[in-house]
Amino acid sequence: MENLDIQNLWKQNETLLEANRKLNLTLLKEMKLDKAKSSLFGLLFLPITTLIFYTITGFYAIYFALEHTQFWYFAFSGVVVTFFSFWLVWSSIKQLKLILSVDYTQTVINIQEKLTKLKTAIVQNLRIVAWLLPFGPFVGLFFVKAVFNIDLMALLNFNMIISFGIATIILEVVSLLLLRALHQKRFDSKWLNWLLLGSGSQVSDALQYLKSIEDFQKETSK
Amino acid sequence: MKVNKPDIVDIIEENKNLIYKIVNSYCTDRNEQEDILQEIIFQIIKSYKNFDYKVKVTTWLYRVAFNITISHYRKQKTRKKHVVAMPSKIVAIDEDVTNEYDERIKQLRAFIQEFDPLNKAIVIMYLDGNSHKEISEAMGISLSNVGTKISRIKTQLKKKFKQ
Repeated sequence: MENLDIQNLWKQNETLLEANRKLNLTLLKEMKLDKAKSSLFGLLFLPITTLIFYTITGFYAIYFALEHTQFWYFAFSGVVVTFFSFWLVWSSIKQLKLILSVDYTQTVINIQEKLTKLKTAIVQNLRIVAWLLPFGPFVGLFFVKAVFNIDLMALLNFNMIISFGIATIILEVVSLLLLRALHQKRFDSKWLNWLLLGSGSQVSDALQYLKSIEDFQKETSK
Repeated sequence: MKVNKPDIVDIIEENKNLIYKIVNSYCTDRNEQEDILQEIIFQIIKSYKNFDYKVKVTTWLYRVAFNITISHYRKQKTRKKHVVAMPSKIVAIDEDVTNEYDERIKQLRAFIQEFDPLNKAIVIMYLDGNSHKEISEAMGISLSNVGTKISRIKTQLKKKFKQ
């Protein structure tokens, strides 16, 4: 079939579509934009709440560290919580910037990349959690002291201190495995799915789509 | 000198077929098509005040329509309606009476469905008679890349119809 025939068919398709669709011009003219929300607004909730929560946590952790300088483990745990809190704040700001920069009038490739990157933002947060894991026992110390005003270290005996050390080593290994898995180009969907409570296949799909966008931009003549 | 912009309702009315074709090529469910059409029109109206005519109106419309339609197509969860409590649809779609369709139109639609979302966009713009420059501006890829892809698409479409 010649291209002209295909284009004629396409025009016929257009006529048929127009016949079956009715544009409500009255409603269109009265459309109240101020009452309508963009579908992207729903995406703002999580990064905004993360931003607020970890900003407060970060500043509290600074205060905590300064207040407990006489106990090295509290000062250290305060520093750890401060560092990771502001890392999560930075990640949230990046996500918010990405969401707010989405403008559907930009080129298709540009917007598809941005929207897909939003879906993979959870991977960035998982990486931060992976880095935090080895410091888990110190975060626990911080939390128990901050919330319950209990100094766990004062209650520890020798065996518990050994367990503390072993836990840190195990978490270090888990952290390394997690970071390695999260840096692979192809995610193991079942594994990621479990980790992301069912959203792993969506993230995996988004990563593959990002790759296909990258390929689409290349000029290949196959 | 301030240029008066045409009314956005007139622009939508003039170019409604462009939007219909895009939505119909990515989504076959009638109710979903109505929702997508509603969102496209909402985004067009919302962004029109910032439209500066650096690209053609149709290029701008293609971008909005493709971005929303492709995003919907890729979404797995139910989409939240973006327009709050509209009493009726901006575009109402009648039930398709398929036995009135030319079999070859059905075939063409089926062939277009086989393309991935991004190449499908190029197919649609090519069939609409857009220049390589217009396709390049809408998609955000180079002119030579557009040429390569269109050449491949023409070959594929001819091959599919011959089978």
